Amino acid sequence: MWSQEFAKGLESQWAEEFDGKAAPGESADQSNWANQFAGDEEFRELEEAFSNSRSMEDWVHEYRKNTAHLSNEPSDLEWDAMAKAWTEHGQEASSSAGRGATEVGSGYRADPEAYQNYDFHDADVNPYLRASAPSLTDEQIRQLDLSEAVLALEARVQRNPQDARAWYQLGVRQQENEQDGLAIASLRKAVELNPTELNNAWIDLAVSFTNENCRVDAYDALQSWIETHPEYRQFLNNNDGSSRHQSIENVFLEAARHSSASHRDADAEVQIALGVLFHIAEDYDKATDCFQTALNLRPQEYMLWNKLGATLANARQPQRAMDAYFTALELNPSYIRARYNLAISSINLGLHREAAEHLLGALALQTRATKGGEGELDGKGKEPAVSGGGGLLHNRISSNLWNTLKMTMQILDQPDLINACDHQDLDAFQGKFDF
Amino acid sequence: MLATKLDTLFKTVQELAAKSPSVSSAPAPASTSAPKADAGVAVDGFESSALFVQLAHAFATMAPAERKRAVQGVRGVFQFNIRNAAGQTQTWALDLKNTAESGEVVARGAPAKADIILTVADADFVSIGQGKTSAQGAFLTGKLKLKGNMALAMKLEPVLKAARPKASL
Repeated sequence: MWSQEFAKGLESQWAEEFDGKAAPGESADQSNWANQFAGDEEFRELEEAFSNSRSMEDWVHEYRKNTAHLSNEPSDLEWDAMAKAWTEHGQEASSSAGRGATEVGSGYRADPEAYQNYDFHDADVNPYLRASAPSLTDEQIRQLDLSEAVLALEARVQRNPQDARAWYQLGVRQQENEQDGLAIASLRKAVELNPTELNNAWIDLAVSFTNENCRVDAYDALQSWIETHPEYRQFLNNNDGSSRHQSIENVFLEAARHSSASHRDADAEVQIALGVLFHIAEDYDKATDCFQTALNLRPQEYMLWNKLGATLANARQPQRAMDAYFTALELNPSYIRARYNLAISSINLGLHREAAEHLLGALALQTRATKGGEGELDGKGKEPAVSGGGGLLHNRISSNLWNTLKMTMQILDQPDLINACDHQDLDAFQGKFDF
Repeated sequence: MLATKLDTLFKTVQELAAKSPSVSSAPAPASTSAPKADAGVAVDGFESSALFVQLAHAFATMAPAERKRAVQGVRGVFQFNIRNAAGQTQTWALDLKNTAESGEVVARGAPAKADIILTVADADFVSIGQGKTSAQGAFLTGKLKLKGNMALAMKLEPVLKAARPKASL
């Protein structure tokens, strides 16, 4: 019978354990495990550990009460109280763990030095910087593959550092390219040069800061969007002394109400901003709703499909997430970030080989444009690549793609390929993985 | 039902106590096998291996400010004794106290001095790492056994969570 065991156990062991005087840890040779395991000190430590939990104190009282009446079988009520105390403690601990996680994982501000300067590709690998390079229109650049477009836009801002629109486009393309650091640097330039006309860049900045875990900067960016918005600026006064998150959320909710009242449709930008806010707060259901609403207005926007996918992934709905990523990739097959996110979903499902293949596919796309005139870019309306250097394009800054690939190689325990990641040597993977 | 749960809990503590001398004084069996030259974190035959690699990767790639915060909140040395389905035990160390600055916080094998020792089955640790099971829940059901500074166990989940690869918006 458990009750007898319990009573016996308490008498012979538990009582000793909790009343024992031996300090823990200094008596490995002791035959009496109870003394060895837990003296008063350890019990106090346990109490201390749980001391912010009132229910734990209740449990301690309950426990002591129970140990005082060992001969009596505890009533169901007492068992109930004990179990409840444990459960409540568990909940408190996990909710405080949740708060802890936002502290551990996010709530910091970016180093002021970080993201200040855009790190360009070397001039000798960028064919668009050559004197002979044709000057492309916005539309022509839009038609280019992602990696070509990045080079073309880099060339444009290097020729004219005051071109705010080019900085903005470059920033958005670098998000697409899974390079949030570079995206932040160039989006910052865009809003610096033209804070009012390009104010939507603030929302993109908030997205990249969120990805980089710089939560405070993400809030700042969202606030700047409101401040520079002619219609929604008025709601900023509603600051009521609540938390930073809450006050910004209130402003955006106000903006959402206002826009759906004054226009027939919701404002997609407001929905995206709210989606980002809820994503930061890890309220993924609400974030999903916001991105869905925005997608109803802009069903062709592949970056929005990816935002929906990423939110579903973080909400642990990998299948729906992958569907969203695939929709994004149907709309834009060279969308690196969606491929990266597919890899992340694979990793979280324990599918490390598949993850590696998604990453390798993305890296192959990132580098092929500059791999030397192989003529891949002869598609409809596409400006032919002006490349001819033949060398692989190395990005000097650290790349999420290579880092994550390195991680999967570590998981798969492939020392040679870990080394290949350090050298960004894509060829080393030929024949070992399908990509 | 509840009584059964509590009973399990008691057994857990008893088992833990019975085992603790060997846990604290002798290195775990598998950690005596020669580590590979690259001193990688991964070990064949353990699902948890991927979690430790992810943890190592997350701390290595964190911005210094972020890492500092993560470590400040915890300050402890964790030892994990992971038992797989084949009955083998592998030990990993997570040091958020001494080696934190360098970003190299995970190592295969036992640490010199652990503040807390966690003993758990491979599959259960994977479940905790993925956030499907709470550490508290695993502890209460006897799946996770603790020895040492219990308070550190509660700080583990945020660390594991921070290490989980996240999708980009």
